Amino acid sequence: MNTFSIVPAVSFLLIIISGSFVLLHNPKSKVNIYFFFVCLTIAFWNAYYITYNFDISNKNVYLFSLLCYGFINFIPMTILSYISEFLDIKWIKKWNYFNYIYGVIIFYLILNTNFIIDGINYFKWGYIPKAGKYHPFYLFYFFIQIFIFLNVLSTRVFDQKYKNDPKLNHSKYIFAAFMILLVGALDYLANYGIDYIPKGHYFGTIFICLLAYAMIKHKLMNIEIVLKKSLVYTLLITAITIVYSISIYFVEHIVQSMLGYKSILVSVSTATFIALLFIPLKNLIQDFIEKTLFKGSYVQIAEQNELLRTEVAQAERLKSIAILASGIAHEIKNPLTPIKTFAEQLPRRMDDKNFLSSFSKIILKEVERIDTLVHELLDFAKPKQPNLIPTNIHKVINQTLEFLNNDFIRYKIDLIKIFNADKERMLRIDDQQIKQCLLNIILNAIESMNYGGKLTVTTEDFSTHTQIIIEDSGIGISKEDLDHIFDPFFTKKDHGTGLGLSITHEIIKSHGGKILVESLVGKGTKFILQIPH
Amino acid sequence: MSHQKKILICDDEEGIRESLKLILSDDYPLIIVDNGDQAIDTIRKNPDIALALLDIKMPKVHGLDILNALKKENPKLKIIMVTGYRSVETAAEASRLGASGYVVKPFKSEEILEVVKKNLG
Repeated sequence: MNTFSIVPAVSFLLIIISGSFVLLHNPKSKVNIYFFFVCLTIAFWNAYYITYNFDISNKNVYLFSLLCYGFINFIPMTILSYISEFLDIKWIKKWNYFNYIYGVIIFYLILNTNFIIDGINYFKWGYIPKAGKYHPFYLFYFFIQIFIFLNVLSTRVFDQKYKNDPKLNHSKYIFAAFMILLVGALDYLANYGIDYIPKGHYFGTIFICLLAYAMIKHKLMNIEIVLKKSLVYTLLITAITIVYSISIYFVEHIVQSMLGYKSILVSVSTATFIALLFIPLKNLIQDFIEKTLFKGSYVQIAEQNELLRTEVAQAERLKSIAILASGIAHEIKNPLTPIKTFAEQLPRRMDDKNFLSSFSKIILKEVERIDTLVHELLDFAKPKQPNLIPTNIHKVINQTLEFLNNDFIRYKIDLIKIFNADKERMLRIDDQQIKQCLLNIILNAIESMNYGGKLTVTTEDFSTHTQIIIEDSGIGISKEDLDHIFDPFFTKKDHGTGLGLSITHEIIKSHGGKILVESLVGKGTKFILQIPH
Repeated sequence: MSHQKKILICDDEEGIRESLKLILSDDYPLIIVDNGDQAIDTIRKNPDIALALLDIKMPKVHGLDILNALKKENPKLKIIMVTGYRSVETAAEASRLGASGYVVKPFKSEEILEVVKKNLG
């Protein structure tokens, strides 16, 4: 056993942990899944270096070495999957299916034949599997895959066409990471008997660190802390292992030359030394990472995050404008149609009393509809800044409920009030706007209960906000519709504009609050308004 | 009434129903309903209805779903979709599902008469 094996062994574990962190953070993201696979194959590359310090002629060690070698064969494929998913390149995705099948065949050949690996090369510094007769072919296709992804990436990085691609910066990091990883490919020389000490595990670790950094900075902003910590501890443990190995090596020599035998004192004293070193070393590395890798990154990341958020918000706004536009088209063209027909038919039917009386009513109604719509649209487009005044929230709720009292009687609705919040709870609200919100929600609730039902209004205090819950026993809202109820013009009612709830949403937002909704079809709906203190 | 082919009008908007009635009632016998379920029921009970004018956007159920259901009831039925806005996707979907025509609101009386006449031969 050689203590130097500890470095690749620790890197192996930590790369797998890093990959798992990313994967567990969002197991549904395909980019994360492929990143995990990349980590897995690179980790096996590290594991492979554990063995060159062992006597590889031992059958089990040799088998382990071959197994790791088989996994290394999957590195280009997992990286191709990662890149093609990230840049959404369909032909690579398709081609890669073939690569995986090829990979499985090579894996089999490595383990069961001497085509790819045939025996062992012995060097002063360790043992390395010897290249078999067909190893050059394997190597050739290995580099073809690498060439393809470098080609794709360099196009993304250097072609002017992608100058404004939001993924450009991320691509640059991936490209840089691969260039470093490529140096690690020199390790294949040792398979051919050339005396070159493998260094791939260092490049592999740097590669994962760079990829993780790129993901933190440009993609997975919210796992930044997790990854940064894992990065600190990866380097920390690597550093400690190196210090530990070197210390043991030298101290062992000194002690042995002095005492003439090995002593437990060596391990104990080194362990004490390491223990004393742990915290300052950790701080040193943390400092180093903050200052180098994440240099100025707080501001940069914040700026880039802001930029991304603006882009997303803008896209969302465009989407809602599109919904709004089609809603307006429908809402205005409907009343316009009878007005147009009336105007067309009028000269011909001037004397038709039935026509005149029925259509004059319809036209009046339709004009009123357009008028209401325009008002609601204006309210929606330019929500008035709320006039926030400390107001007793229970008073506002009671006034709204009293206003609706006749409806409760007419539609046979049992009203239950559970005011658990402080009776004198004052909230900074615009009482007219909050009344409008409550009205919108309660009127919807009444309509959903279709003659008879139970309406429960509850208030609750929390440390930061007060919650108003309005729960009905109505027909409920289906899962698909639930995603759209706050969209402008989304309605399931016969005579609704579909603006009520979107206005409610806007109002609560402008109060710094939140509106949540839960619903079960056939059971009822629950609206939760959270208004901050 | 010069023609005897029956027409079904299905729209949730009173104004549209009345407009279509005004435009068509002199020339065709009409059955007017205000929702999809009634439309399907009517087509099932009246196989002599030759054409349906159908709003594409109605509450509760999408006009294209009704179109599909009506076609199942009576594959020979001609269906004209009435819509608030021209959208390529909806037009394509309507034609794929077998609609014979497409009228955009607010329509002209002649437009309706023409598309109905064309489809009833």
